[in-house]
Amino acid sequence: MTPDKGNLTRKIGRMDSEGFDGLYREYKSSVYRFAYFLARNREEADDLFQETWLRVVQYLPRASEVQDFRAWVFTITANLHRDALRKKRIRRLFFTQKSTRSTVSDESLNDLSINKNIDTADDSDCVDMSMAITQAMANLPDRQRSVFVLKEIEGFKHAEVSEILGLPIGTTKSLMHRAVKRLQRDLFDYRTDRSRLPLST
Amino acid sequence: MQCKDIEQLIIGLSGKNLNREELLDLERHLSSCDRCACFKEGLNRIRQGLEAMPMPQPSDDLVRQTRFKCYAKLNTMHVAKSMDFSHVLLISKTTWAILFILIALTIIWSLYLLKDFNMSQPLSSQTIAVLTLMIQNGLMLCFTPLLIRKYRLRGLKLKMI
Repeated sequence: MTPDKGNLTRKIGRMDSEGFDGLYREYKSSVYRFAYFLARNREEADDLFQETWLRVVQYLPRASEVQDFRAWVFTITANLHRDALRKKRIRRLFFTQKSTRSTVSDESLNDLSINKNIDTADDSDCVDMSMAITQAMANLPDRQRSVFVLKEIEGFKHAEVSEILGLPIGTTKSLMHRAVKRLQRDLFDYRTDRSRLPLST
Repeated sequence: MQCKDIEQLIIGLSGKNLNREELLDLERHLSSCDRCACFKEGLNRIRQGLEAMPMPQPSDDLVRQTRFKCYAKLNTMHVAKSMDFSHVLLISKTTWAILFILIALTIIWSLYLLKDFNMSQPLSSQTIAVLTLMIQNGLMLCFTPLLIRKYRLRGLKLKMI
């Protein structure tokens, strides 16, 4: 354990606001990123983000036993998202709403492109590609999307992903494979220089 | 190796988890299989797209609001912990052992004294006095744990005031 991590562990063990601050500063961006890709819209991502950190505070006394804080915080986020989905399904069951797959809203897509200065045609192409990938990811089933985000964006290994999501390693590998296949299929129509180039056959 | 296994290896390439043998198998297969070569090309394009993609960031308001709520919750937990006296009110095992021994001795002496009741002779005043003291002693010992907890709690409450 690095000296910084050791310090953090001791502070967290004391249920210190300083301990919490350390965790919060280090992981808030990556937690929000994960929450955003899970929720697929800003409002739900904001709620998920806030709820995650309140849970972190609640479980702070147990945090000193945790080996990997980042995976621990991500596990909390994934569990909260799963609980939220379960509640939605139950509500749909009782109120007989059609199950509509929510896609990333236009506003959310614009959020992602707004910081990129579009100066050249290449930049414009990149923005289009980014939006296409974001939309394609939003269309992935929940478990595939979770695995894909954890593996490709957050850089976790399969063993860590399986721990975070509470799935066997074989399942996470299979979900990842299916997610990649589906993304390639959905991005088949993406045009570069207005020419139809398949991403895979 | 089958294409499905190769595709798993390709996915694993990003984490550089492959050993030399796996890399050789992969290169050999890719040189002869168009389908897997396309898969690799497609995945590389997705990864490039992800690298170029601006990542969602939490707004400053959200960061501030969340931090504030978490601090408030931490403070509540601190206050609750300081009000939790259960660790102070716990009676030690030594105390329990002493109480148990004293109660056992009281019962033994009481039983010994109760022999007088079996004999058909009137109880003397001294015997009654001793019996009363023994009963009182026994009751005090039984209720001691409750009394300890009560007076400790009162003491703590007085300190807090």
